[in-house]
Amino acid sequence: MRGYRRPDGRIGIRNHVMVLSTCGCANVVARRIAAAVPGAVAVPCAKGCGQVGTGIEIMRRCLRNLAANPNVFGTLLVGLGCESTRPYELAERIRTALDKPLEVITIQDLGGSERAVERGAELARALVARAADVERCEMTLADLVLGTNCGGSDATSGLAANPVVGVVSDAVVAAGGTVMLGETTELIGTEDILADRANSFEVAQDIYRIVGGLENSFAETGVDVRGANPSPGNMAGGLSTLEEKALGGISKGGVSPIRQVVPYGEIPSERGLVIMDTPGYDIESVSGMTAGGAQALIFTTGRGTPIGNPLIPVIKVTGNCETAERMGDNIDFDASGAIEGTVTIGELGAHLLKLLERVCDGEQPAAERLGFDDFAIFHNQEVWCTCLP
Amino acid sequence: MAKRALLMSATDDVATVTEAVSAGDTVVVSTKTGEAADELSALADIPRFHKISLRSLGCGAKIYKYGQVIGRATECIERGGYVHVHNIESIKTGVRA
Repeated sequence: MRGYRRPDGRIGIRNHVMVLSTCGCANVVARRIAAAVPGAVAVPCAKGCGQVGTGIEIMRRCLRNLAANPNVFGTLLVGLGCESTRPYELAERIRTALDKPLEVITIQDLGGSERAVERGAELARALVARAADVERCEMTLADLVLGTNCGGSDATSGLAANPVVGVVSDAVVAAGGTVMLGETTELIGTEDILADRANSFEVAQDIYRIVGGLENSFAETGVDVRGANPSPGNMAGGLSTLEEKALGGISKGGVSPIRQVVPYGEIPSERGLVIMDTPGYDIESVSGMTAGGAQALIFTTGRGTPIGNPLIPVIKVTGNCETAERMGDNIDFDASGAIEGTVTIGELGAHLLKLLERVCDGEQPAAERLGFDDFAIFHNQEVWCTCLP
Repeated sequence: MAKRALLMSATDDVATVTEAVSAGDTVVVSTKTGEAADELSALADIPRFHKISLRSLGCGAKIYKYGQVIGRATECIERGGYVHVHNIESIKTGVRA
Protein backbone atom coordinates (compact mmCIF):
# COMPACT_ATOMS: atom_id res chain seq x y z
CA MET A 1 0.00 0.00 0.00
CA ARG A 2 1.13 3.53 -0.72
CA GLY A 3 0.06 6.66 1.10
CA TYR A 4 1.00 10.28 1.74
CA ARG A 5 3.37 11.06 4.60
CA ARG A 6 2.44 14.08 6.72
CA PRO A 7 4.80 16.31 8.75
CA ASP A 8 3.76 14.55 11.99
CA GLY A 9 4.84 11.17 10.56
CA ARG A 10 1.34 9.86 10.06
CA ILE A 11 0.31 8.62 6.63
CA GLY A 12 -2.81 9.58 4.69
CA ILE A 13 -4.50 7.30 2.18
CA ARG A 14 -5.97 10.32 0.37
CA ASN A 15 -4.39 13.70 -0.32
CA HIS A 16 -7.24 16.15 0.20
CA VAL A 17 -7.23 19.90 0.30
CA MET A 18 -10.03 20.57 2.77
CA VAL A 19 -12.22 23.68 2.58
CA LEU A 20 -13.57 23.63 6.12
CA SER A 21 -16.47 25.81 7.10
CA THR A 22 -16.33 27.00 10.72
CA CYS A 23 -20.02 27.85 10.89
CA GLY A 24 -23.22 26.93 9.08
CA CYS A 25 -23.34 30.51 7.72
CA ALA A 26 -20.15 29.84 5.70
CA ASN A 27 -21.21 26.46 4.27
CA VAL A 28 -22.38 27.72 0.89
CA VAL A 29 -19.24 29.80 0.38
CA ALA A 30 -17.06 26.81 1.34
CA ARG A 31 -18.99 24.60 -1.05
CA ARG A 32 -18.66 27.10 -3.90
CA ILE A 33 -14.92 27.42 -3.32
CA ALA A 34 -14.45 23.66 -3.44
CA ALA A 35 -16.67 23.38 -6.53
CA ALA A 36 -14.45 25.92 -8.31
CA VAL A 37 -11.21 24.10 -7.47
CA PRO A 38 -10.70 20.53 -8.70
CA GLY A 39 -8.97 18.59 -5.94
CA ALA A 40 -10.55 20.57 -3.08
CA VAL A 41 -13.27 19.09 -0.89
CA ALA A 42 -15.80 21.07 1.12
CA VAL A 43 -16.57 20.02 4.67
CA PRO A 44 -19.68 21.75 5.99
CA CYS A 45 -20.32 22.74 9.59
CA ALA A 46 -23.60 21.61 11.14
CA LYS A 47 -23.46 24.48 13.64
CA GLY A 48 -20.42 26.42 14.92
CA CYS A 49 -22.39 29.29 16.42
CA GLY A 50 -25.09 29.70 19.05
CA GLN A 51 -23.37 26.98 21.04
CA VAL A 52 -22.19 26.96 24.66
CA GLY A 53 -20.37 24.74 27.12
CA THR A 54 -19.39 21.28 25.94
CA GLY A 55 -21.21 21.93 22.65
CA ILE A 56 -18.74 24.60 21.54
CA GLU A 57 -15.84 22.67 23.07
CA ILE A 58 -16.69 19.60 20.99
CA MET A 59 -17.13 21.71 17.85
CA ARG A 60 -13.74 23.46 18.25
CA ARG A 61 -11.98 20.18 19.05
CA CYS A 62 -13.44 18.50 15.99
CA LEU A 63 -12.65 21.36 13.60
CA ARG A 64 -9.06 21.44 14.89
CA ASN A 65 -8.63 17.68 14.67
CA LEU A 66 -10.13 17.45 11.18
CA ALA A 67 -7.20 19.52 9.91
CA ALA A 68 -4.92 16.92 11.54
CA ASN A 69 -6.55 13.95 9.77
CA PRO A 70 -3.78 12.24 7.78
CA ASN A 71 -5.95 12.23 4.64
CA VAL A 72 -5.80 16.04 4.67
CA PHE A 73 -2.81 17.70 3.01
CA GLY A 74 -3.83 21.20 3.98
CA THR A 75 -6.85 23.22 5.05
CA LEU A 76 -8.59 26.42 4.08
CA LEU A 77 -10.79 27.58 6.97
CA VAL A 78 -13.80 29.55 5.79
CA GLY A 79 -15.61 31.50 8.47
CA LEU A 80 -18.36 34.07 8.55
CA GLY A 81 -16.41 36.14 11.08
CA CYS A 82 -18.56 36.53 14.19
CA GLU A 83 -19.22 32.86 15.01
CA SER A 84 -18.43 31.22 18.34
CA THR A 85 -15.85 28.88 16.79
CA ARG A 86 -13.67 32.02 16.19
CA PRO A 87 -11.92 31.10 12.92
CA TYR A 88 -8.67 33.10 13.49
CA GLU A 89 -8.20 31.70 16.98
CA LEU A 90 -8.93 28.23 15.61
CA ALA A 91 -6.34 28.77 12.88
CA GLU A 92 -3.74 29.75 15.49
CA ARG A 93 -4.54 26.66 17.51
CA ILE A 94 -4.17 24.44 14.47
CA ARG A 95 -0.88 26.10 13.50
CA THR A 96 0.48 25.58 17.01
CA ALA A 97 -0.46 21.90 17.01
CA LEU A 98 0.32 21.04 13.41
CA ASP A 99 2.97 21.71 10.82
CA LYS A 100 0.51 21.51 7.93
CA PRO A 101 -0.50 24.10 5.32
CA LEU A 102 -3.35 26.22 6.63
CA GLU A 103 -5.16 29.31 5.33
CA VAL A 104 -8.06 31.20 6.86
CA ILE A 105 -10.57 33.68 5.49
CA THR A 106 -13.82 35.14 6.73
CA ILE A 107 -16.69 36.37 4.63
CA GLN A 108 -17.11 39.52 6.75
CA ASP A 109 -13.43 40.51 6.51
CA LEU A 110 -13.32 40.01 2.77
CA GLY A 111 -16.44 42.08 2.19
CA GLY A 112 -19.06 39.54 1.25
CA SER A 113 -19.62 36.14 -0.25
CA GLU A 114 -18.40 36.83 -3.82
CA ARG A 115 -15.04 38.19 -2.75
CA ALA A 116 -14.74 35.33 -0.25
CA VAL A 117 -15.37 32.75 -2.97
CA GLU A 118 -12.84 34.45 -5.26
CA ARG A 119 -10.11 34.76 -2.61
CA GLY A 120 -10.89 31.32 -1.17
CA ALA A 121 -10.57 29.71 -4.59
CA GLU A 122 -7.15 31.38 -5.11
CA LEU A 123 -5.91 30.03 -1.79
CA ALA A 124 -7.40 26.57 -2.38
CA ARG A 125 -5.86 26.41 -5.86
CA ALA A 126 -2.44 27.17 -4.40
CA LEU A 127 -2.92 24.43 -1.78
CA VAL A 128 -3.93 21.91 -4.45
CA ALA A 129 -0.80 22.76 -6.45
CA ARG A 130 1.35 22.13 -3.38
CA ALA A 131 -0.51 18.89 -2.55
CA ALA A 132 0.46 17.52 -5.97
CA ASP A 133 4.11 17.61 -4.91
CA VAL A 134 3.63 15.10 -2.08
CA GLU A 135 5.28 11.86 -3.09
CA ARG A 136 3.59 8.63 -2.17
CA CYS A 137 5.36 6.43 0.33
CA GLU A 138 5.03 2.80 1.41
CA MET A 139 2.62 2.19 4.25
CA THR A 140 1.37 -0.84 6.20
CA LEU A 141 -1.66 -1.64 8.31
CA ALA A 142 0.34 -0.35 11.29
CA ASP A 143 -0.12 3.17 9.86
CA LEU A 144 -3.89 2.76 9.71
CA VAL A 145 -6.60 4.04 12.01
CA LEU A 146 -9.72 2.18 10.95
CA GLY A 147 -13.15 3.42 12.00
CA THR A 148 -16.13 1.06 12.29
CA ASN A 149 -19.84 1.76 12.34
CA CYS A 150 -23.13 -0.03 11.79
CA GLY A 151 -26.37 1.40 10.50
CA GLY A 152 -29.67 -0.02 9.34
CA SER A 153 -28.84 -3.25 11.16
CA ASP A 154 -30.89 -6.41 10.78
CA ALA A 155 -30.65 -10.04 11.87
CA THR A 156 -27.72 -10.66 9.50
CA SER A 157 -25.59 -7.87 11.01
CA GLY A 158 -24.58 -9.67 14.20
CA LEU A 159 -24.41 -13.00 12.41
CA ALA A 160 -22.29 -12.25 9.36
CA ALA A 161 -21.35 -8.61 8.61
CA ASN A 162 -20.08 -7.60 12.06
CA PRO A 163 -18.12 -10.82 12.78
CA VAL A 164 -16.49 -10.53 9.32
CA VAL A 165 -15.44 -6.96 10.12
CA GLY A 166 -14.21 -8.29 13.47
CA VAL A 167 -11.74 -10.51 11.60
CA VAL A 168 -10.42 -7.41 9.79
CA SER A 169 -10.27 -5.43 13.05
CA ASP A 170 -8.21 -8.16 14.70
CA ALA A 171 -5.83 -8.23 11.71
CA VAL A 172 -5.35 -4.44 11.78
CA VAL A 173 -4.68 -4.49 15.53
CA ALA A 174 -2.32 -7.48 15.21
CA ALA A 175 -0.37 -5.55 12.56
CA GLY A 176 0.09 -2.64 14.97
CA GLY A 177 -2.70 -0.41 13.67
CA THR A 178 -5.70 1.10 15.41
CA VAL A 179 -9.41 0.27 15.25
CA MET A 180 -12.17 2.51 16.58
CA LEU A 181 -15.39 1.13 18.01
CA GLY A 182 -18.08 3.74 18.64
CA GLU A 183 -21.84 4.25 18.95
CA THR A 184 -22.12 4.31 22.73
CA THR A 185 -25.88 3.73 22.47
CA GLU A 186 -25.07 0.30 21.07
CA LEU A 187 -22.66 -0.49 23.92
CA ILE A 188 -25.35 -0.40 26.61
CA GLY A 189 -25.56 -3.94 27.95
CA THR A 190 -21.98 -4.83 27.05
CA GLU A 191 -20.23 -2.56 29.54
CA ASP A 192 -19.20 -5.43 31.84
CA ILE A 193 -17.86 -7.44 28.92
CA LEU A 194 -16.00 -4.44 27.49
CA ALA A 195 -14.66 -3.48 30.92
CA ASP A 196 -13.33 -7.05 31.29
CA ARG A 197 -11.48 -6.55 28.02
CA ALA A 198 -10.01 -3.20 29.09
CA ASN A 199 -6.25 -3.31 29.46
CA SER A 200 -6.27 -1.14 32.59
CA PHE A 201 -8.51 -0.17 35.48
CA GLU A 202 -8.73 3.39 34.11
CA VAL A 203 -9.97 2.22 30.72
CA ALA A 204 -12.58 0.01 32.43
CA GLN A 205 -13.74 3.02 34.47
CA ASP A 206 -13.97 5.11 31.31
CA ILE A 207 -16.16 2.46 29.69
CA TYR A 208 -18.55 2.49 32.66
CA ARG A 209 -18.46 6.30 32.68
CA ILE A 210 -19.51 6.78 29.03
CA VAL A 211 -22.17 4.06 29.11
CA GLY A 212 -23.52 5.15 32.52
CA GLY A 213 -23.44 8.82 31.49
CA LEU A 214 -25.41 8.13 28.36
CA GLU A 215 -27.96 6.06 30.23
CA ASN A 216 -28.42 8.87 32.72
CA SER A 217 -29.06 11.36 29.90
CA PHE A 218 -31.60 8.98 28.42
CA ALA A 219 -33.22 8.53 31.86
CA GLU A 220 -33.53 12.33 32.20
CA THR A 221 -35.64 12.38 29.07
CA GLY A 222 -37.71 9.47 30.36
CA VAL A 223 -36.31 6.87 27.96
CA ASP A 224 -35.47 3.40 29.28
CA VAL A 225 -32.93 2.10 26.78
CA ARG A 226 -32.58 -1.28 28.43
CA GLY A 227 -36.33 -1.77 28.53
CA ALA A 228 -36.72 -0.72 24.89
CA ASN A 229 -34.16 -3.23 23.62
CA PRO A 230 -34.26 -5.50 21.81
CA SER A 231 -37.09 -3.92 19.82
CA PRO A 232 -40.03 -6.05 18.63
CA GLY A 233 -38.41 -6.08 15.18
CA ASN A 234 -35.13 -7.28 16.68
CA MET A 235 -36.98 -10.05 18.53
CA ALA A 236 -38.79 -11.16 15.38
CA GLY A 237 -35.32 -11.33 13.82
CA GLY A 238 -34.16 -13.75 16.52
CA LEU A 239 -32.54 -11.47 19.12
CA SER A 240 -33.69 -12.46 22.60
CA THR A 241 -31.91 -10.02 24.92
CA LEU A 242 -30.20 -6.64 25.07
CA GLU A 243 -26.87 -8.39 25.68
CA GLU A 244 -27.23 -10.52 22.57
CA LYS A 245 -28.03 -7.50 20.40
CA ALA A 246 -25.14 -5.45 21.82
CA LEU A 247 -22.66 -8.35 21.49
CA GLY A 248 -23.53 -8.70 17.82
CA GLY A 249 -22.75 -5.00 17.41
CA ILE A 250 -19.41 -4.98 19.20
CA SER A 251 -18.26 -8.10 17.37
CA LYS A 252 -17.14 -5.75 14.56
CA GLY A 253 -14.31 -4.58 16.84
CA GLY A 254 -12.91 -8.12 17.09
CA VAL A 255 -11.57 -9.58 20.29
CA SER A 256 -8.54 -7.40 21.09
CA PRO A 257 -8.03 -5.77 24.48
CA ILE A 258 -9.44 -2.24 24.71
CA ARG A 259 -6.59 0.22 25.08
CA GLN A 260 -8.31 3.58 25.43
CA VAL A 261 -11.62 5.42 25.54
CA VAL A 262 -11.57 8.80 23.82
CA PRO A 263 -14.18 11.57 23.80
CA TYR A 264 -16.04 12.37 20.60
CA GLY A 265 -13.69 13.67 17.90
CA GLU A 266 -10.52 13.22 19.96
CA ILE A 267 -7.37 11.64 18.51
CA PRO A 268 -6.41 8.42 20.34
CA SER A 269 -2.90 8.42 21.80
CA GLU A 270 -2.92 4.62 21.99
CA ARG A 271 -2.81 2.04 19.23
CA GLY A 272 -4.90 -1.11 19.12
CA LEU A 273 -8.64 -1.28 19.76
CA VAL A 274 -10.04 1.98 21.13
CA ILE A 275 -13.55 3.16 21.89
CA MET A 276 -14.74 6.59 20.80
CA ASP A 277 -17.79 7.97 22.59
CA THR A 278 -20.00 8.64 19.59
CA PRO A 279 -23.78 8.93 19.12
CA GLY A 280 -25.85 6.30 17.37
CA TYR A 281 -26.60 8.65 14.46
CA ASP A 282 -24.39 7.28 11.69
CA ILE A 283 -23.29 10.52 10.04
CA GLU A 284 -22.25 12.08 13.35
CA SER A 285 -20.50 8.90 14.43
CA VAL A 286 -18.49 8.60 11.19
CA SER A 287 -17.68 12.33 11.27
CA GLY A 288 -16.40 12.05 14.86
CA MET A 289 -14.09 9.20 13.90
CA THR A 290 -12.84 11.28 10.96
CA ALA A 291 -11.95 14.07 13.39
CA GLY A 292 -10.29 11.40 15.55
CA GLY A 293 -7.91 10.58 12.71
CA ALA A 294 -9.47 7.55 11.00
CA GLN A 295 -8.23 7.33 7.41
CA ALA A 296 -10.84 4.73 6.41
CA LEU A 297 -14.01 3.24 7.85
CA ILE A 298 -15.86 -0.03 7.46
CA PHE A 299 -19.61 0.33 7.76
CA THR A 300 -21.90 -2.67 8.22
CA THR A 301 -25.52 -2.46 7.18
CA GLY A 302 -28.38 -4.92 7.01
CA ARG A 303 -30.93 -2.81 5.19
CA GLY A 304 -28.43 -0.73 3.21
CA THR A 305 -27.43 2.94 3.27
CA PRO A 306 -25.54 5.14 0.80
CA ILE A 307 -23.75 7.42 3.29
CA GLY A 308 -20.10 8.36 2.99
CA ASN A 309 -17.70 11.05 4.14
CA PRO A 310 -15.84 13.86 2.36
CA LEU A 311 -12.42 12.96 3.79
CA ILE A 312 -12.31 9.21 4.31
CA PRO A 313 -13.45 6.26 2.19
CA VAL A 314 -16.37 4.38 3.76
CA ILE A 315 -16.61 0.69 2.84
CA LYS A 316 -20.09 -0.86 3.01
CA VAL A 317 -20.51 -4.45 4.12
CA THR A 318 -23.79 -6.33 4.32
CA GLY A 319 -24.67 -9.83 5.48
CA ASN A 320 -28.04 -9.61 3.76
CA CYS A 321 -27.97 -11.10 0.25
CA GLU A 322 -31.16 -9.27 -0.78
CA THR A 323 -29.66 -5.90 0.22
CA ALA A 324 -26.43 -6.77 -1.59
CA GLU A 325 -28.50 -7.24 -4.72
CA ARG A 326 -31.21 -4.58 -4.33
CA MET A 327 -28.81 -1.86 -3.17
CA GLY A 328 -25.81 -3.08 -5.12
CA ASP A 329 -24.89 0.50 -6.10
CA ASN A 330 -24.14 1.27 -2.48
CA ILE A 331 -22.67 -2.00 -1.21
CA ASP A 332 -18.99 -2.88 -1.56
CA PHE A 333 -18.85 -6.26 0.11
CA ASP A 334 -21.38 -9.07 0.38
CA ALA A 335 -20.81 -11.18 3.50
CA SER A 336 -24.03 -13.18 3.12
CA GLY A 337 -22.08 -16.26 2.03
CA ALA A 338 -21.37 -16.86 5.72
CA ILE A 339 -25.10 -17.35 6.23
CA GLU A 340 -25.68 -19.34 3.05
CA GLY A 341 -22.79 -21.59 4.07
CA THR A 342 -20.87 -21.07 0.83
CA VAL A 343 -17.94 -19.36 2.52
CA THR A 344 -16.77 -18.95 6.13
CA ILE A 345 -16.53 -15.81 8.25
CA GLY A 346 -12.76 -16.31 8.39
CA GLU A 347 -12.47 -16.45 4.59
CA LEU A 348 -14.73 -13.43 4.15
CA GLY A 349 -12.62 -11.53 6.67
CA ALA A 350 -9.51 -12.25 4.60
CA HIS A 351 -11.27 -10.99 1.43
CA LEU A 352 -12.51 -7.87 3.18
CA LEU A 353 -9.00 -7.14 4.46
CA LYS A 354 -7.76 -7.30 0.86
CA LEU A 355 -10.49 -4.85 -0.17
CA LEU A 356 -9.49 -2.52 2.69
CA GLU A 357 -5.88 -2.64 1.51
CA ARG A 358 -6.92 -1.82 -2.06
CA VAL A 359 -9.01 1.09 -0.78
CA CYS A 360 -6.04 2.36 1.21
CA ASP A 361 -4.07 2.13 -2.01
CA GLY A 362 -6.57 4.32 -3.86
CA GLU A 363 -9.48 2.15 -4.97
CA GLN A 364 -12.74 4.01 -4.41
CA PRO A 365 -15.56 2.28 -2.54
CA ALA A 366 -19.11 3.04 -3.69
CA ALA A 367 -19.78 5.99 -1.35
CA GLU A 368 -16.58 7.75 -2.43
CA ARG A 369 -17.07 6.98 -6.13
CA LEU A 370 -20.66 8.24 -6.04
CA GLY A 371 -19.73 11.42 -4.19
CA PHE A 372 -21.41 10.80 -0.83
CA ASP A 373 -19.84 13.48 1.34
CA ASP A 374 -22.18 13.31 4.32
CA PHE A 375 -20.84 15.19 7.30
CA ALA A 376 -22.12 16.42 10.67
CA ILE A 377 -20.36 17.13 13.94
CA PHE A 378 -22.45 16.11 16.92
CA HIS A 379 -23.91 19.22 18.57
CA ASN A 380 -25.77 18.59 21.78
CA GLN A 381 -26.50 21.89 23.43
CA GLU A 382 -29.12 24.08 21.86
CA VAL A 383 -28.99 27.52 23.43
CA TRP A 384 -32.10 29.21 22.14
CA CYS A 385 -34.41 26.28 21.89
CA THR A 386 -37.20 25.84 24.42
CA CYS A 387 -38.24 22.69 22.59
CA LEU A 388 -41.94 23.51 22.91
CA PRO A 389 -44.18 21.65 20.51
CA MET B 1 -31.71 -32.64 4.10
CA ALA B 2 -29.86 -31.33 7.16
CA LYS B 3 -30.37 -27.69 8.18
CA ARG B 4 -27.49 -25.39 9.05
CA ALA B 5 -26.61 -23.42 12.17
CA LEU B 6 -23.69 -21.11 12.97
CA LEU B 7 -21.67 -21.28 16.18
CA MET B 8 -20.17 -17.88 17.01
CA SER B 9 -17.72 -19.05 19.68
CA ALA B 10 -16.45 -22.52 20.67
CA THR B 11 -17.94 -22.53 24.18
CA ASP B 12 -21.39 -21.20 23.24
CA ASP B 13 -24.54 -22.93 24.49
CA VAL B 14 -26.55 -21.86 21.46
CA ALA B 15 -26.15 -21.73 17.69
CA THR B 16 -28.09 -19.60 15.18
CA VAL B 17 -30.01 -21.49 12.52
CA THR B 18 -29.46 -19.96 9.09
CA GLU B 19 -32.64 -21.42 7.63
CA ALA B 20 -36.04 -22.24 9.13
CA VAL B 21 -35.99 -25.53 11.04
CA SER B 22 -38.90 -27.89 11.75
CA ALA B 23 -39.15 -30.19 14.76
CA GLY B 24 -37.31 -33.42 13.99
CA ASP B 25 -34.93 -31.84 11.46
CA THR B 26 -31.25 -32.66 11.73
CA VAL B 27 -29.20 -29.49 12.32
CA VAL B 28 -25.51 -29.37 11.45
CA VAL B 29 -23.61 -26.76 13.45
CA SER B 30 -20.47 -25.24 12.00
CA THR B 31 -17.91 -22.75 13.37
CA LYS B 32 -16.92 -19.37 11.93
CA THR B 33 -14.07 -21.08 10.11
CA GLY B 34 -16.37 -23.72 8.61
CA GLU B 35 -15.51 -26.72 10.80
CA ALA B 36 -18.32 -29.03 11.86
CA ALA B 37 -18.92 -28.50 15.58
CA ASP B 38 -22.05 -30.48 16.33
CA GLU B 39 -25.01 -32.30 14.82
CA LEU B 40 -28.32 -32.64 16.62
CA SER B 41 -32.02 -33.11 16.18
CA ALA B 42 -34.34 -30.09 16.63
CA LEU B 43 -37.05 -30.56 19.26
CA ALA B 44 -39.17 -27.67 18.00
CA ASP B 45 -39.77 -25.44 14.99
CA ILE B 46 -37.14 -22.68 14.94
CA PRO B 47 -37.49 -19.64 12.64
CA ARG B 48 -34.55 -18.49 10.48
CA PHE B 49 -31.87 -16.60 12.49
CA HIS B 50 -33.26 -17.82 15.82
CA LYS B 51 -31.35 -20.02 18.25
CA ILE B 52 -31.09 -23.73 18.99
CA SER B 53 -29.71 -25.03 22.28
CA LEU B 54 -26.67 -27.30 22.02
CA ARG B 55 -26.94 -28.59 25.60
CA SER B 56 -29.45 -29.25 28.34
CA LEU B 57 -29.61 -26.13 30.48
CA GLY B 58 -31.10 -25.89 33.96
CA CYS B 59 -33.48 -23.15 34.98
CA GLY B 60 -31.41 -20.07 35.89
CA ALA B 61 -28.36 -21.21 33.90
CA LYS B 62 -26.38 -18.52 32.14
CA ILE B 63 -26.61 -18.77 28.36
CA TYR B 64 -23.47 -18.15 26.29
CA LYS B 65 -23.30 -16.78 22.75
CA TYR B 66 -20.33 -14.93 21.18
CA GLY B 67 -18.39 -16.48 24.10
CA GLN B 68 -20.29 -14.18 26.46
CA VAL B 69 -23.42 -14.31 28.60
CA ILE B 70 -26.49 -13.16 26.68
CA GLY B 71 -28.97 -13.96 29.48
CA ARG B 72 -30.26 -16.75 31.70
CA ALA B 73 -32.72 -19.59 31.29
CA THR B 74 -36.13 -19.02 32.83
CA GLU B 75 -37.00 -22.73 32.50
CA CYS B 76 -35.16 -25.95 31.72
CA ILE B 77 -34.05 -26.08 28.11
CA GLU B 78 -33.29 -29.39 26.40
CA ARG B 79 -30.55 -29.99 23.87
CA GLY B 80 -32.17 -29.29 20.49
CA GLY B 81 -34.69 -26.89 22.04
CA TYR B 82 -35.70 -23.49 20.70
CA VAL B 83 -34.11 -20.66 22.71
CA HIS B 84 -35.80 -17.28 22.68
CA VAL B 85 -37.74 -14.77 24.83
CA HIS B 86 -40.10 -17.51 26.07
CA ASN B 87 -37.32 -19.30 27.95
CA ILE B 88 -34.43 -16.86 28.44
CA GLU B 89 -34.22 -13.35 29.89
CA SER B 90 -31.72 -10.54 29.99
CA ILE B 91 -29.58 -10.19 33.08
CA LYS B 92 -28.82 -6.59 32.19
CA THR B 93 -32.26 -5.17 31.49
CA GLY B 94 -33.30 -2.76 34.17
CA VAL B 95 -30.02 -3.10 36.02
CA ARG B 96 -27.82 -0.03 36.16
CA ALA B 97 -24.06 -0.46 35.85
